[in-house]
Amino acid sequence: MGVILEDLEQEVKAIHADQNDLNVVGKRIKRIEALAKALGTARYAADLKRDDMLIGKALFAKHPHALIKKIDTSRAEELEGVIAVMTAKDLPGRNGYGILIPDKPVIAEKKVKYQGDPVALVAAVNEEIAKKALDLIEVEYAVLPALDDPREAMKDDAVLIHENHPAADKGNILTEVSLTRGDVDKAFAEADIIIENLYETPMVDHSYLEPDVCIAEPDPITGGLLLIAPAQFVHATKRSLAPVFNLPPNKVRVLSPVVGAGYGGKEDSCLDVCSIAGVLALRTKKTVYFELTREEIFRNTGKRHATYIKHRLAATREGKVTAIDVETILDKGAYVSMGGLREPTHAVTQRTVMYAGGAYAIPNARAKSYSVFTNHPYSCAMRGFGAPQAYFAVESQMDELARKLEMDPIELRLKNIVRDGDRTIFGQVMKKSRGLGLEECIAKVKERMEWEKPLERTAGSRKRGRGFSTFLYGTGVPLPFEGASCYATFQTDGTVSIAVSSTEMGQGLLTAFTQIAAETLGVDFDNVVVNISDTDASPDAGPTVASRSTTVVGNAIINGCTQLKNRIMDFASRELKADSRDIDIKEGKVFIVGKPETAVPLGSMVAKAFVNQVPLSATGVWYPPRPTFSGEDGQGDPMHAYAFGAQGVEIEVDTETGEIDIVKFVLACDVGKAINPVNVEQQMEGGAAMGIGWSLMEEIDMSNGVMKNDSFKNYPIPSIKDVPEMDLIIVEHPNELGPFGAKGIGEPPTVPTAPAIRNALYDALGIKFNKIPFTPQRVIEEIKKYENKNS
Amino acid sequence: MKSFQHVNVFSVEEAVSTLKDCKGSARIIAGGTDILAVLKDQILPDYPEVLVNIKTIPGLEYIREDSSGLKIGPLVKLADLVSSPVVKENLKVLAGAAQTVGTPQIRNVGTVGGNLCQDTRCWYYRYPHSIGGRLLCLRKGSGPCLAATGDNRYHAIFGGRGCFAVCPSDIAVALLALGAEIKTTGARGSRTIPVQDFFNPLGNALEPEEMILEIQVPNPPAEAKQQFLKYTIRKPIDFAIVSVAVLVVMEGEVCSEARIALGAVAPGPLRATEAEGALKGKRLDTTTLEEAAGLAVKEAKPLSMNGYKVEIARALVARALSACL
Ligand SMILES: Cc1cc2nc3c(=O)[nH]c(=O)nc-3n(C[C@H](O)[C@H](O)[C@H](O)COP(=O)(O)OP(=O)(O)OC[C@H]3O[C@@H](n4cnc5c(N)ncnc54)[C@H](O)[C@@H]3O)c2cc1C
Ligand code: SF4
Repeated sequence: MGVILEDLEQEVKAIHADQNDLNVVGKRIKRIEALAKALGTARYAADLKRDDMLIGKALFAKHPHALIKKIDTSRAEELEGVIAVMTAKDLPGRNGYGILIPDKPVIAEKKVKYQGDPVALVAAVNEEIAKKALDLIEVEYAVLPALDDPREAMKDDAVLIHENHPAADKGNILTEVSLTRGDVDKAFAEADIIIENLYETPMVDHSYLEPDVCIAEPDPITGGLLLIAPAQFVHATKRSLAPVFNLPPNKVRVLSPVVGAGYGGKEDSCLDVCSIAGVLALRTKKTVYFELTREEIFRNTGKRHATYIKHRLAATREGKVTAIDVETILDKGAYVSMGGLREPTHAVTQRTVMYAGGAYAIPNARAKSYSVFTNHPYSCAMRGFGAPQAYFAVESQMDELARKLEMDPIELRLKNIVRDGDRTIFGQVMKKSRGLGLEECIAKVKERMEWEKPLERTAGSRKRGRGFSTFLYGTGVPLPFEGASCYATFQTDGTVSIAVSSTEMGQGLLTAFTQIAAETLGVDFDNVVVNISDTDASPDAGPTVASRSTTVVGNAIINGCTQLKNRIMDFASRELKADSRDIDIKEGKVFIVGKPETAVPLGSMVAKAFVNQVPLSATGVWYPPRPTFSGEDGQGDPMHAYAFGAQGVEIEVDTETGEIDIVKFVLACDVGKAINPVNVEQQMEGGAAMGIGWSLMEEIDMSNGVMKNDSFKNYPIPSIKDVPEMDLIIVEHPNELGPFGAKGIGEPPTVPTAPAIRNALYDALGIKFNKIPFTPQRVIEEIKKYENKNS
Repeated sequence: MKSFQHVNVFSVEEAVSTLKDCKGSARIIAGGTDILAVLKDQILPDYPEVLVNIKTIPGLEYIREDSSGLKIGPLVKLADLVSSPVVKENLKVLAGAAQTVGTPQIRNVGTVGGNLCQDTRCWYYRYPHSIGGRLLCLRKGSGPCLAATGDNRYHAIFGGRGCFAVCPSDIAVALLALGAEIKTTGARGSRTIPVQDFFNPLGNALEPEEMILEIQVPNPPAEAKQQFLKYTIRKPIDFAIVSVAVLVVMEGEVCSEARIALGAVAPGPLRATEAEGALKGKRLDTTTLEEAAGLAVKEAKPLSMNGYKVEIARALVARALSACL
């Protein structure tokens, strides 16, 4: 143990030797927007509401699955103060939108497919009238049976949810994604040990604090539309909705102020609110304010895909995993969203396949995932994007294998993890040069957990247990367009403006981008301002998702800033009569290297450059190596770099009440380079807290398409007291292609928590918990079952 | 929220007469933390036209001690129960129960009277009207109980008759263990209702134009030990899965009196009399406590999904008792 850590430390020191001269990057800088948020002065979209705006409201479906027979809006239209009532026939353009495919109607016309489908819209002078108008709309339905379980919905005789879905494979099956590698049947036939289990994970809500709102304002000059809404991908919002408004994309401007968290949800939910507010604004030629209530957010907007996973794993007696064979069924809900079409846009469905073998070099693999329509809210992107589900299964399987072999679970993992030159089940070669800190993460967690010490098993009704898990998680999206653009501009006083379409939603991206720009240009942190999320002010930086922005967009910022820097250095070389290779910019000064007396304030050099026809703006771009991933066999290089991590937990479970207390929580993540360690720690804490909620208490309860717990009144998310003190370890194995070596960290910390807790439960009780969440009800029921079986 | 008329009243008489004049279309509002949520979600088919604000009635916010016990005005805030020295000193279960209610904001605004009269949290009952329409059920006077055949994991394990919703009030549990009485006044005059008779399977004993005037808590035996425990899924800010309030009086080595009240397991708070009997005159060793805990849940009739509540109730009773030793 000691030896491994010392070796690793040597290696890490060598890796970091060339990063010692950074001035801004790597520093613990306070988040730029933190104070304004704490004071309540930061302005979110809803804070921009004005009294002269019309209020939009939508009448949502009464039934989760029904044909619309008749809609009568006449009484609502007659109500004083109602400015417009719209049904599907009144729409200006295409009645459909969606990030991947326009299959979600703005207003349902013939059929409703879940309770979040609007059937009519109202704009009125105030909220009270708008609501009254909704009550006056009469809708006649012919109710159809609602489908809750994708395993039932995929059967041949199930009622069809979409009669003619433009993308569906067959019946209610939207898509099927496969992965094959090696000879799985042979490996299973030759295996010493086979582990087979079924796993289930629930549908959960993102539970972002800020509600979904949209302010839609017609532009009287262009005839276009301004949409202000919390959005994780402003350019895609514009592209997806322009046809709905029957406008060219250059007449739709989408602007997202600071966002009160999104976790993937606001990639889609912004389309829901913007489409409604937008069509009402065009119809009334007035500014319309539309906001979802919390209950509507629960019922209408996207959720994490519930999954049903059958996982088989084959291994040798020595503990080498030789094959996996996995089938995953995903609850797609009513619309595609990010659920995945065919290659290359198979999104969440693809990730469940890709991560089915975890962070291990498994030579033979077969994985098949089916994404199936139900009458539930559409499942969409949510922190981890299919990976938490896949890892719950594979990391539980690893634990089962360790038990069967009577081998230490960490030792077993060390026998199987990917190392330099190994291939993952999706065929990508893992390279040290892109950062491969998994072993260090494992070693550090093991040390902090004091894993070698025997565990004190508490007496009485409280039993202790320890669990472990690891992960590998890609940075960015495996889509052909992956890449980013931004504008970098010198003001004539040497201060810097960066315009980028990414979203600040609490992850600290403004601060990280500012650090990257300041470091690249050699200026003070305070001399850079980053302007975000305005489609008219910045080019497309891609979505703020997939743990990609610091890395992918960060590189685009470096590119833009480097162009500016080179221009100024070039100009300065003429001014200072030196070779441009000898010029440098640091701490706001331009100078000849080795001659401090030549230093000129950057501002005056920039001003001079400006009057000498040197352009002060540049478009920064960056594209990673083109992602590949075959829909046939699931093989390819989907992401350019991967974050790694390991987690250990120690829990105490009360066998009489089913209560689970996490008493020790150690999480190590290899982020390549922590551009801002505070941000990284906050991502780790937040992600892990989300993982705890998913593991212990959160679960959307649907029956017959109706959600029972549709608000925070009966959908608990962890409070500060449910989240333990966390021991967080940042590991930095640089990614040669990342900005200063960075890899993504936004989602990965959500991945390892559930299996680590599950494995600790097994350790404590000897009972398998293969279904999340581990509520007191489930814990007690499983203990009872176990006692009955063993008595 | 639909609009309603908000009427300030300045005396108890005015409150009662206003309620009476409105002929069933008026409701009392105190802190508003529960009733406003009920109205906002429009969970009930009938919507009041008038809310009678009793916060403007002077002199209903007191905690007074006299020789027989403590008198608590209906407008006393839950936060004041928590911080009151007499309550903390003599009625530890009551302070303990109030402390576990919701958040500081809820406790600063929510009143004792409102807490006792708050509506049930059954998720079918509370289903908002805004999407798909409210759900009707037995408690709303139309159709069968949806929980009986549906998801009843949070419902009653005792005493449900037709409706299996539980009483969510934590302080009711403490007040039952303390043997408190609720003084009311209404169109038909004043009366005093023992806490155990206040709740019924479909709500409480109040007439439409009746209001709570005072909570009367007799002095507990001087040497009584008290303990309130509440089990929730999320640690703070959550309603009880099960709660329990116990009082134990010891004479030397032997228990001379024990009171056990269970919450969130039945339509109202519930005394476990058989368990209490089994403790009387006994030395309280582990076996006796566990026996009593077993007796406390002996009559439980769990529904399809809430058998686990029986286990939690049993554990909580044993733990609360043993905390009193
Ligand atoms: C987030 C949240 C968490 C909560 N958690 C808990 C908890 O953990 N435990 C718990 O016990 N409660 C909990 N509650 C409920 C809360 O305690 C009650 O809402 C509060 O005590 C009610 O008091 P109020 O004065 O606001 O009542 P109001 O909302 O004003 O009234 C509630 C009901 O009581 C009636 N009423 C009020 N005063 C009188 C009176 N004097 N006479 C007759 N009728 C009257 C009203 O007509 C109404 O029907 C929670 C509530 C919320 C919103
Ligand atoms: S438990 Fe009571 S309130 Fe709930 S559905 Fe049944 S009858 Fe209605």
